[in-house]
Amino acid sequence: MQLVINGLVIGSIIAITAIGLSMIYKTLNFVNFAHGDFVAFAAYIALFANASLGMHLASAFLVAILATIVLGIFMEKVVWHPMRRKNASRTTLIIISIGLALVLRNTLIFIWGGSTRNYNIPVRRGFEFFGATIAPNQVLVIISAFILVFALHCLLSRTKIGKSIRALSDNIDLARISGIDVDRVILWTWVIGLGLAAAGGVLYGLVTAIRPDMGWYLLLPMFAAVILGGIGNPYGAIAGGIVIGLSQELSTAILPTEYKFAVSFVVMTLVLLLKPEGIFGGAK
Amino acid sequence: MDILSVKDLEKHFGGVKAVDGCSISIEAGTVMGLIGPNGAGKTTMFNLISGFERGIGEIVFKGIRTDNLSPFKIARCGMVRTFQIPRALTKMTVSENLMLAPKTQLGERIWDVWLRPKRVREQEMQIREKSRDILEFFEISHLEDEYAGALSGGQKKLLEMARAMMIDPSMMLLDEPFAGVNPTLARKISRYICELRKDGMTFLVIEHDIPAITEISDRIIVMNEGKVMAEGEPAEIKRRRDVLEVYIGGEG
Amino acid sequence: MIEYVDMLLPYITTILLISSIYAIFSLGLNLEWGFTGLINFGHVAFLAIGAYTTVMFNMSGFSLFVSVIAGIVLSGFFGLLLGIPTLRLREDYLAIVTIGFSEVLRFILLNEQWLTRGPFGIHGFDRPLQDVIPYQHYNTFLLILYLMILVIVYFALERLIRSPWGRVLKSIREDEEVSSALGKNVFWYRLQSLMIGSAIAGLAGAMLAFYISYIDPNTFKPIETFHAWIIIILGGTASNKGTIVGALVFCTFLSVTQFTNRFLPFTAHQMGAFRMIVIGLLLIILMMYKPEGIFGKKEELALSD
Repeated sequence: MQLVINGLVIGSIIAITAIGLSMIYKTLNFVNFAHGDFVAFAAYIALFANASLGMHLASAFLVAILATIVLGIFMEKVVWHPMRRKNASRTTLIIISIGLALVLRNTLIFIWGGSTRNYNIPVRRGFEFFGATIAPNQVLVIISAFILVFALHCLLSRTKIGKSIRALSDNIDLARISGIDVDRVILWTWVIGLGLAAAGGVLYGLVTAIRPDMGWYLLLPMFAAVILGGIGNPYGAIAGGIVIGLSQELSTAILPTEYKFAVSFVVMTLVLLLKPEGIFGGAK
Repeated sequence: MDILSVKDLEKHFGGVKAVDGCSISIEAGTVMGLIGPNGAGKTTMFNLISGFERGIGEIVFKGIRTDNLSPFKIARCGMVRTFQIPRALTKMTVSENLMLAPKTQLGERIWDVWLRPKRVREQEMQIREKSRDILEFFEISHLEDEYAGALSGGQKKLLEMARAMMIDPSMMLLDEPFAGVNPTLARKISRYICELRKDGMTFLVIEHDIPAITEISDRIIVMNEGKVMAEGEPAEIKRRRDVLEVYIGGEG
Repeated sequence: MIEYVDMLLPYITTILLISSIYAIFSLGLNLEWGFTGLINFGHVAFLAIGAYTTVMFNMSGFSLFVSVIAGIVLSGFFGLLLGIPTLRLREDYLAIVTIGFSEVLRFILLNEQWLTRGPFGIHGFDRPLQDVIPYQHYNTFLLILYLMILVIVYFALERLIRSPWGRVLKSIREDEEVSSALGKNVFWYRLQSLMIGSAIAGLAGAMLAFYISYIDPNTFKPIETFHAWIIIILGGTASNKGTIVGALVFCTFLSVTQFTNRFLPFTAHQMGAFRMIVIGLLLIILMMYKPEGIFGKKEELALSD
């Protein structure tokens, strides 16, 4: 039962962060290998705001999201947009994202060092639930995840920008012809995607120690969730995230804990080989 | 003797039937024209026959069932295809493009590169000779060492045909060889096709240029909405009213 | 004056030694990416397999010669195993899967202590001619040996690339459908490329083990794969000469920056991080403005589609 709880918690985090990866993958047509490091970046900004500047965690949360979005917009204007104009290949973009990942991660090491940190928040005791202990932070994570997903759903289905994003995901040329301002929609995709990733990052910092490579270790499960749910399908990413999170934690009942990531890897490879559109099928 | 026979071929894309139950037979040593309005399914037929798409139905080439084979295996059986927009290998020279093509090159096997270097060198020289002959036939010898990316559209078309020739195919599938080509070049291409046919080559040619295709074809198939609408000699086809309607209605 | 040379010589030897190992490692990747267009983000896995296999065979009593051969063969074999299910995948999927593969391998190396002694690593294995060469000249000997190996590998690869086999590879890199339409078995060639590239990485792994005299799973983190990527991009993809130069430049950069933190107000850790930031930025800038690298030819670049 404890494993189930843990699985749900980590699964929610994977879910939220994976949505951004999935949307960006579909709309911009490349795998952003730096996504994990954006997640870590957000956690560190929140840490900075909270531990060094003394802000309440809630405000730190908002600051982190804002900072991450600003960074993302900067990258879009300076790197991704010009490269799209040059018709750069998918491979080029992937390699650039690797470079970005290196820069981000090592900037974090450079400023904050390699040791682990934690937020400056009061420690509260967990409570009992069907034979397992849940920490209040874990509850906070799950509830926040719910709220964020609900907000996303409203955004995607009710607002104009949400509909444009879905149109772009479906068929970028058709969308362009029907008068949608592709660049603007792409910008919004980054904003939403990275905003969610940032939120996930701050929440992640609530339940694990903050280390510079925390993002990298989330990357493989995120990929697995995205592929499982179908690239470009945000709801698929959510489901995928929960499934991966649960299976990772539950696997520790039979495998040594270090092989948790092997689980994501195996799941992902199987899906790619057998049903590349994902269980919930976005398009390929 | 039929070199190619296709029975009840079907291909679905989602809900659309691109090819809807087509049967075709092509006699060896003839030129078969394939015409029809845009979207009739001609290129899909090509892709199915050459193995680039999988569908339902039976395809027999030179006595072998090929409907389940990968494209490279079908190519090895002696069927080669060109593409609608010429796909020259732009990062390689014209000569390299041609020398790539022939089958059973010893040098393409790693062991033989190391263990039989002399034989490989001999073969390379033979292939180079052959490529020079074919370049001459197509009258583009002067382009031998140019990067294929630097060629004009018409030259790339000739390159594709020359490259296809290097395989010694039994059958060539040409996808719109006359598209976007000036009249002089078009006449040359017609001449090449006729000369090759005299030597026994079979052709299946997709074209929109009706005068050009009716001139070189022995028989013509008309496709519309995935089905074979008409088949016969060029003179017959030209006279049929329903064919005319399809074209005037479809293309305006 | 003589004192400077005395101090400098072992230092230069070290740089050259590391460069030659990285060069061979990167030449393997260059075959896969530069000449065949495969995105392999898990290349370090084969460095590890080569190193561990060689070392473990040797510790079990086999001669060095047999152990190294075993390392090379096993690396190539694992390349085959990895390739069979995954080479049909689209390039970005391949990238993800290969990274996963190298990380899972590293976890296995870390955890299966009965096999690999886990995080404690292995040491105490033989090194080539260690009984014959006196200790103070050993690195020099190793350098000469490694440079000879590098030359052999370089010329072997060049021979392969200029052969008809290499021509098929180039055609696959650019347009696999055309290659298929001409009767080439695209999948099999990709597999061969991966196998050979992996085997070469395995050789580099054995060389690495002999140089450091100690291996542990942390030597084989994903960052090493990306070091190789930077080297081949820097030197010019599809240029073996460029790769070797790139390796030299890269290793010199790494070594020289060990000392620059005397001039900059950084701690040692910060220096390490700073180095990686520079490398990351270099990668981004190279890919944006000069993707053909120093020696690459723009016409041969298969990167813009």
